[in-house]
Amino acid sequence: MAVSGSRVKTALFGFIVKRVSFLAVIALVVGACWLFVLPLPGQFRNTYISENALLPGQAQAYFRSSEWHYLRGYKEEVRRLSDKPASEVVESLSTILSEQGYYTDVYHHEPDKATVYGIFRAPRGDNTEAIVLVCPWTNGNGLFNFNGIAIGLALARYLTKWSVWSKSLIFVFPPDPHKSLREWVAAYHRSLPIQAGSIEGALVLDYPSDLSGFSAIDISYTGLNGQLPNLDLINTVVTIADFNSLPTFIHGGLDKLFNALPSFLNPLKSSAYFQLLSTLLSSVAAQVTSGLNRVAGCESFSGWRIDAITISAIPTSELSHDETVYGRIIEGTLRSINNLLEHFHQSFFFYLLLSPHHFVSIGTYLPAAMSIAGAFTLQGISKWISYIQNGSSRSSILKAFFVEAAILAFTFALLSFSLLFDSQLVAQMLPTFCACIIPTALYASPMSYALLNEIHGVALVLSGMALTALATLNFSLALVVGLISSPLMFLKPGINRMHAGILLLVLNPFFIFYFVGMFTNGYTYIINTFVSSWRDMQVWTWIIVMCLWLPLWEVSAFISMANVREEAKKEVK
Amino acid sequence: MKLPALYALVLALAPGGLANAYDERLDITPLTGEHWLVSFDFNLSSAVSHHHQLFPRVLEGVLASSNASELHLRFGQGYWDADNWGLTPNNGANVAGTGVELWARIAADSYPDAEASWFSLANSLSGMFCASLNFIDSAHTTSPKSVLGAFDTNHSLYLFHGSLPSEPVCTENLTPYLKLLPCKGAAGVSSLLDGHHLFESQWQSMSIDLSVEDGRLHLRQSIYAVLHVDRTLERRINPVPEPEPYEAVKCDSSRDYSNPQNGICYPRIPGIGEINVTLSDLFGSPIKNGACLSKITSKSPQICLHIPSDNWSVTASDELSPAIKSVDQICYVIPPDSDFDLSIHSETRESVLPKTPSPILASRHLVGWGQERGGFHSVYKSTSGDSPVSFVTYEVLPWFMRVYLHSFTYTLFDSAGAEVATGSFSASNVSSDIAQLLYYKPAQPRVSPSHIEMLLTIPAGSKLVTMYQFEKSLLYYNEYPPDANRGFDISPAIVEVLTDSSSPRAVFRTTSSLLSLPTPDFSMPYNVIILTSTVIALAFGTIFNLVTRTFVYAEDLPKQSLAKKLRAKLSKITSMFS
Repeated sequence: MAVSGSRVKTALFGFIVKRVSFLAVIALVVGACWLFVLPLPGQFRNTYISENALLPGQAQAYFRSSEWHYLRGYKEEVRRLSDKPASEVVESLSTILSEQGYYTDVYHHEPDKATVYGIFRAPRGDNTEAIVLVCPWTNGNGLFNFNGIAIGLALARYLTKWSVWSKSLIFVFPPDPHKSLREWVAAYHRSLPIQAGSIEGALVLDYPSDLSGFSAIDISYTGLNGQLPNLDLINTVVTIADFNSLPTFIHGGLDKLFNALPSFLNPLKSSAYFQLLSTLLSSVAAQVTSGLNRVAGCESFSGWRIDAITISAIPTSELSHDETVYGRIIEGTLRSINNLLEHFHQSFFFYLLLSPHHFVSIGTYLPAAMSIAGAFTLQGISKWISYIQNGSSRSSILKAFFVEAAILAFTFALLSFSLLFDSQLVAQMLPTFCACIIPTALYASPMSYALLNEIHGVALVLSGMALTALATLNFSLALVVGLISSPLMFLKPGINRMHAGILLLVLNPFFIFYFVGMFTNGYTYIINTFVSSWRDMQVWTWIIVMCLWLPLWEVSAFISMANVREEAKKEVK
Repeated sequence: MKLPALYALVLALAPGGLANAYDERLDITPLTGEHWLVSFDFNLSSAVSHHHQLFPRVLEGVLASSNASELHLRFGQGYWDADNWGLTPNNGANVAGTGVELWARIAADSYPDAEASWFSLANSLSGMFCASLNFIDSAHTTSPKSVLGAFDTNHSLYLFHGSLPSEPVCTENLTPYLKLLPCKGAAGVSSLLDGHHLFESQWQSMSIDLSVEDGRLHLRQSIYAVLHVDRTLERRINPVPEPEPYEAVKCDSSRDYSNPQNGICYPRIPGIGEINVTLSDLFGSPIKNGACLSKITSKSPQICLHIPSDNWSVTASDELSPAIKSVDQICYVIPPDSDFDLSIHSETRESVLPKTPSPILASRHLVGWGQERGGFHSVYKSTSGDSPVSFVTYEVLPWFMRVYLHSFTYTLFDSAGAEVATGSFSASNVSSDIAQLLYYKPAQPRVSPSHIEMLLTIPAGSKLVTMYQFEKSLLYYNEYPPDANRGFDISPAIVEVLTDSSSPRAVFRTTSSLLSLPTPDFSMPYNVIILTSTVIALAFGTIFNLVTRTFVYAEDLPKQSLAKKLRAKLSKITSMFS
């Protein structure tokens, strides 16, 4: 028995070893299709409130009737401020806040930029915990956050009438929800003179209109570098909105895109699957581009263990919910957060939302990125196995690592260069620098097929490891980078240079940015966004591009363009 | 009936002065238009004897069993806003920080004896006041070197201090507190002390100070609270702050658009203008008659309002006339035979007496990010314009905050906000003219906390910022308190402003801070236990099988006929019965 067992094992091993490359293709296909399986019934779960203390919507919200009079008063005030210079705005906002008993201070970023913030000391607290409400002057799309500010001011007045607060309330009025807010949050955790203890939650108010009506709210939740707020916070807002019979959307970008289509073509209208899928994909897209393009505001709180979301109202001139409903949703959410004795911790921190009421947790979605990362590793191993079978010398593995290290050093130098000298010129120069590898490969002395194969194998195994690690931190980024760069793993030494060249061009990160830039704000804008997002918001995406994607591209370009030593090639055949 | 009078006569004639002296008073001081400070003071002094007519017997028992010559207990909650409210009442001598704080001076032959008495003292007080004082163990205990009266050191007396900042103060602490009073809170100014109204306040502090001096026991109990007058009044009429009816909306008429008829209204600034309030509005009831008090003391309780009397009018019930009336205060003696109420009225409530400014404004908060390191950032601002201020800071940090003393830095800013001087502590240098390390005792994990005392001096009108870093230790699984994800409360720092020896030092406390430590997922161990058990069970089953069985090829087995098999079975069955 034992004899036959080992015989089977060897045979099976041999069978698998011959088909590792095929397994890599299967893993890649599984990874690419995985996300499309998730919206199928049975794959996702319904959201639920995990922390019992939250009791969302259980407290009656009173921001209504005559409070609307005050809100209109503040709207009038904001209207008068809308065309005033920034310094006057800052002064007026501080006056309004301090009139209502707030401890007000101004944080100056630059000579012409300042953030007003005011603290209401909790009547039932010791100034050790706080909730932050952010009303940026302009929202992430650059629109004037008219009602957002007015509702913020009206709530600031109204909430002081309650004695239930056990956490202090901090109202922040930054000029924008991007760099300014991030700087304020950083300053709060460094040296701001007025403090209210640790921040337990943050809501960003986004209502960029002076229309009294709004049709729905849209929740943006992604943080930077894959961080997410606790799912309980989103569930709380959604539950409260449900109680107010208000529709909610999650990162409602794709919905709008599809709504432009005629109704019979629009898959969202006909199928629940497509609705869930579109929200899922927009969640993934939001996570990849978080901190880069449209900044909702909640990203600024990433890194300090603060759960933050942005609640955007979708204004409408039709007869619908009035602006006090928006205020009541904020009020209800604040009451819920105020109930917490502990920091948010009960519910999920790793999830993707398919709709406001459905989610998939990390165990369900992670296989997508993991099997793509696995494909890299398997392909790397298959190249390595072919090296063992070819019986090359032992020292060649060191050579392979040396080449990999040299290329990593080169891309790291490019990264440092782009960060140190952040300018349009540098952005234009980067593709040229990265293309240097091709003449280097063409004019280098011929190398053995096995060595080139091995260099590629080392690079693939390293990329696989890096992608696996990245997938646990920032799932979406790992998925997207893995998918885009995956064709690189099929390049071989001595391949037709024309074919390889086309593939390399299409898969080059800078070419892709250029291509995307053609439809958006242009190539240099994209590169500068990457660089400034690292500098202002500590977003890793640029580092990942330069230290994971680009090295793999460089190695693939090198091995496919290099001259193969003839006799070595024969040996393989 | 005549007995109390006779007893009082005997006491009055007793040698060494009165056996018992008791007085109580209430002071009401508007701090701003909205915030009123109410201070209750109860003073009792009693000769040490075996008769416990007034002095609470339990307290004397506690003192005697622990050999304490001094005992101070504080319960506090809320945030004292020194910027707007000035110095805390009575120079802060009887004011509490956040949570519960206890310190005592204990007579003993040796330090271990004193420490044992201290723990037993904390334990007995814990039961008495329904507070978790029993959690004061060696990891919460320090011996202050230069604050809390530590400067007059007597070598046979040991001073101990412990605090529990996360302790919530509630009615269950107030009830035993009031029981210590001669009339148990049923008569006199203490009849106003009701948990619902006291704990509704913005800030409150309860203190007990007990000392033995010249053969007499002194007990001082003080309760201070800052009431938010509008919220207190509103709560009586309208417990939930529902929106005002449309006709009651108060608009600021100075803005041209502000018009309630159009539904547009810019709100009026709160806390200014007219106010009309009675004691029973503020506390829920008038002062109950003092018959109980008149039996035990000749001194009637006093109630004083500290207000600019030109702008305020005060009328007492039964048209009683004030005992004292001056520019800055109006005082009444509460009649012993009937209930007493006051009605207070002003057209300009925002006109209040100038406050005693705090000599310095201090704040301390946690900075940094991540679960590994953090820092404490403290700001001390001098309010006096003419002379430098010296003060001592006393900080006790739990052992799981590992302080790096070498990371201590300070920066001095002048009144214009420009940086004047910076400095740091290094191994060779722990003092300069600005910051001087008076005492430092590093923490011992699970045994004792870090204890830092520093002498800081800032020039007039300047601002001093100090900073130091610490590392967060990992706790054992069972060391996390319930609700571990809340974080850990760090005791407030105590700041004592040094003055020339004649006047008492001003004392105040910073707020407590909430430190978040890496917290495990407490359900994880159970998952791990279940998983490992499964794996072990599976592995054990297979291996056990392999080890205990003998494997033979089927063809090697001896062939057995059916009859033989049956006979074997039969013999097995019969052997069971034999």
